[in-house]
Amino acid sequence: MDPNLIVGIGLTVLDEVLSMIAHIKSQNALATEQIIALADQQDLANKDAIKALLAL
Amino acid sequence: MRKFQSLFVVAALLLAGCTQDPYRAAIKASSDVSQAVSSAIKITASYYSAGTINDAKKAQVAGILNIVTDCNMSFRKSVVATHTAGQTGITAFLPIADSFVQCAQISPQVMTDPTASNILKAVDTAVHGVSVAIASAKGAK
Repeated sequence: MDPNLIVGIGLTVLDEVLSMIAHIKSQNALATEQIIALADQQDLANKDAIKALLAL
Repeated sequence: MRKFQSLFVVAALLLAGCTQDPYRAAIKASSDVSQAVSSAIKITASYYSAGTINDAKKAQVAGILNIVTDCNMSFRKSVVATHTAGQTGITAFLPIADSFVQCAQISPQVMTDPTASNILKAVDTAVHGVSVAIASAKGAK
């Protein structure tokens, strides 16, 4: 595989690991109702992103 | 790297459970699943762009992530309804979590594929961790 593509995948995964850390840290400061609202938004965004993924 | 992602999910779920009441632990665990799905979508797109997975594999992973998302939305709705009904104990939330884990379960055959497993491991860990987070929450049994 092209080394640039491997680096690209590695950067995407690294970015997602950092997103997970930020997500874990941010939750502690939020009220439960705020976490629900954000999770609802995230799930709706995920549904749209899945549609976009299928359309690639 | 993906093992690190799974480790973060496990750590988040355990921390969520140990220091929270079952309701908050369930909601945080559900939110972790949403985040893990979001990451898996981006990683799937990256794999597809790089030619590591084909159309069929991309569609298979997308279908799984769609099911997990639907199950997670239903799970969160049930958790909120249970909380609103005034139930506070771990035993009120564990059956809901078990239903969610069954609903969102990724088949073992899919996970035997190394590429699919790489993409879906953190999601699978987050799904299974929901029950663990609630079971280890503070509060009346």
